[in-house]
Amino acid sequence: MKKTLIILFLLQQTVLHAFSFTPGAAAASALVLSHNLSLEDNSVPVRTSTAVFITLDLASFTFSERHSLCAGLKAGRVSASIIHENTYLLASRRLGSYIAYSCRLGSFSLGCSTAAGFGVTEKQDISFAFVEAGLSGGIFIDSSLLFSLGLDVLYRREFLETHISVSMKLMVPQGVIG
Amino acid sequence: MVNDMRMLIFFLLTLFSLSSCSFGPDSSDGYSVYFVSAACNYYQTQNQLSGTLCDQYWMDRQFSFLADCAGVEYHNVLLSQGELDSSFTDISGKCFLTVDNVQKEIQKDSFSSELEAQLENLAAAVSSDDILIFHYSGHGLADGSLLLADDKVYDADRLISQLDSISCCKLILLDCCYSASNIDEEGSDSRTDFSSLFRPYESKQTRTWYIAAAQKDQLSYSVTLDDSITGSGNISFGLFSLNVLIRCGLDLGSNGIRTSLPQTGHLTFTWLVNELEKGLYYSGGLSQQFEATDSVRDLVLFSF
Repeated sequence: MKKTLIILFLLQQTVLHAFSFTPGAAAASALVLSHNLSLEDNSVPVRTSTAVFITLDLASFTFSERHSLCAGLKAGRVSASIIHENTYLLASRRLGSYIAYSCRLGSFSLGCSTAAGFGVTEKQDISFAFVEAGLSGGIFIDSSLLFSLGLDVLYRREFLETHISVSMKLMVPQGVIG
Repeated sequence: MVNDMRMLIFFLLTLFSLSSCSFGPDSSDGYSVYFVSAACNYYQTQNQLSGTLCDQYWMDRQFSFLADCAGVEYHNVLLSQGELDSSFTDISGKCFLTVDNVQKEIQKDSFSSELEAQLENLAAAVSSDDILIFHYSGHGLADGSLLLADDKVYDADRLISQLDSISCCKLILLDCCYSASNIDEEGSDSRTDFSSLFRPYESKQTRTWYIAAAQKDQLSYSVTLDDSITGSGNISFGLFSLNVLIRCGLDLGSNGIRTSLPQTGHLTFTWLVNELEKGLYYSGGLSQQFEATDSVRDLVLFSF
């Protein structure tokens, strides 16, 4: 019992020291390619849209001053697509939660993320669930400002979306809070 | 520091300005619109209907007008049971086939076979970027089948199968009782269920958008508009067809019924459905609720 308590205490101290509340927010703009997976639209294999997203880190863990793991919320809007053969994809809004890992290498950053959430199409109010995974690479313009490029793949019913994005992330430097 | 912040703000503003552009909708060029309509009045039978011929006549006129305004080619295929006089009153039960405004009389007994034959002809004639608008005004049965002028039942599955064989986008307007029975719900499985997210998706109806006049268990009705509304005497319409026509721009006024443009630069399926959802004009308390296909894709009918 005593040993368990000591282990738990040590674990708690490790987590508390590792954990730093370094909220960050990012804005991203993306080109979205929606690959059709259903029979309903077999003559138009890919549809093109644009998207705008914002992300908000709610919590982050930093290890060895280089690796960080963060979780937060992501919201955005994908525009209506270009018309092909008199049809287009309706615009949609999405909200999800994500977990992201990033590694700082000097002025550069590499990262990956995964997300899940829900969206709703505009006008028809059709809801859908999605899961997402992505890679990103960026450069620190400032100690708290990161410019990055991202490649995300999102899966939802009928569609596999490829998001090619550029984003700017503003972070509270480590140690400022907590 | 101040310069860095200015540069950052400028960059962000540029980013958002560029990304706030959206692509659609915009017009597609070089396509044709095919309007196929079957209207039956069951003249001098216990099933006689009023307004079906008016529905077809004004649908044809209005879509022809919209196609002209949009600069697209228009073709009509009209199967009608009945004739209208100058006051839009049914005066007979004769059957006619009109193809590209050339009318010929046909035998009542061949109404169903003519409809099937015309749909088969269209399957060969249309190209993938054309649009087919199929309209039916007449009696419908509880299973979604259509009761045609020759008293033959045009089976719902047969209708769907024939329409599916036409490889273009299709808007189906069914103004008859129980018409929502034709809308496939099995293919619209839950999109919000994570557990079924990766299940293969299958749709039974390809590139087809439906608007049905009545729910699966509902009747559809006709209404008679008096001279103060039409300016042309008392005229009967199917309630659903009338509301589609009004949203598509048909103008009812003291100067008579006139074709005109709708209140949108892009007449799309979703726009039409959203307009109909605001309520049916001239329903007078009738219990009739339309139903439309749920689709994440929108069909652009005309752009002006």
